[in-house]
Amino acid sequence: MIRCLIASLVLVSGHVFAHQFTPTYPKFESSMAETISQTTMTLFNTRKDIRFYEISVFDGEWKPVEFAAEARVLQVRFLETKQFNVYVRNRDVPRVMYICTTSKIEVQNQTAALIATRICSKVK
Amino acid sequence: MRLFKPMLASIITLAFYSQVGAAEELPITGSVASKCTIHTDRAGVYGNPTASVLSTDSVDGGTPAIVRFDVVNASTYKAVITTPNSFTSSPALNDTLAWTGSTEVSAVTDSNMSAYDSNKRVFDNVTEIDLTVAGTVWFKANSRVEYGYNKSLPGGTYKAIVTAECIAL
Repeated sequence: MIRCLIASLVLVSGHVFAHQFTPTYPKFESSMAETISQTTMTLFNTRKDIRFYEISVFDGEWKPVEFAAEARVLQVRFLETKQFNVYVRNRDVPRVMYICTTSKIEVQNQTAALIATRICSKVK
Repeated sequence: MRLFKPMLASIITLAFYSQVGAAEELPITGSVASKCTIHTDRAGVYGNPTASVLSTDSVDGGTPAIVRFDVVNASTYKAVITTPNSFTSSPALNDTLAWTGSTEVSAVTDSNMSAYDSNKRVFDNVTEIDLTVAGTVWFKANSRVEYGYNKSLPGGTYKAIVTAECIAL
C-alpha cells in the first residue's frame, strides 16, 4: 500500500507539461511563389492543458510583420508534433527577426493561477 | 541421397544465422539540435492571508508557480518571466489593485546557474535572465495583490496568468 502511494506520488510529481518550438535559428528559402519566401517550423505540445498555439512574426523592435501560415492559431493535440510553414513576402524577409508560438489558455480552464508560454526563434 | 539431409540442415542453419546477422545491423540514428523547452511544472495557487490580500507566497498559504527551462546549447536563449498585473477573471472589483511579483531561481542542474539570480534584469513585473549555461533551471514566480486600503476582496474565483517566455538570442 505504502509502495503504491510512493509510486503514485513520484508519478504525479514527475508529470510536467511542456512547450517546445524549433529550430532556434530558422532560415528563409524560396517558395513555389516567386515573391514569397518560406521557412519550416516544428511545434511539440506536451501541455495537457493547452490545445491551441498562436503563431506570430516580429521585426527587431517587436513590431508585427505580415505573414501567412496554414492558420494563425494552430490546434496541436497533447503529445502531437506539428510541422508548419511560415510564408513571408521577399521584401519583408530582411525585417523578420522573431517567429514565435504562444500557448492559448481557454476560458473554461478551471485552474486559479495559469502559466502562458511563448517561445521565439530568431532569424539571423 | 545420404548427403541430402546434412546439406539441407546446413542450408537452414546458414539461413537462420544470416537473418540474425541482418537484424543486428539495424541502425539507430539521432541528432541533438539547439532548442528551448518550457515546462510548466506547477501552476501557482493564491492564498488569502488577510481579507484584502491574495498571495502565492507559501507563508501566506499560497503556492508559487514553478517553471522549468531546458536549453540544449548555452547562450542561445533568454528566459523572460512576467508576473501578473491584472486578473484574467474575477468577481466585480471597484477599487484599486496593488500588484507585486518576483521571480527567482528555484533549482539548477549546474552550479554555474546560481549566477542567474544576481545577473537577472528586473523591470516592472518582468524578469529577464540570459540562459548562459546549457541544462535545466527552475524558476519560482510569486505574485501578490492587495485590494484598496484594507478592503475585503469579494468572494469568488480569481484567475491570473504568469507568462514564461524563451527568446532566442
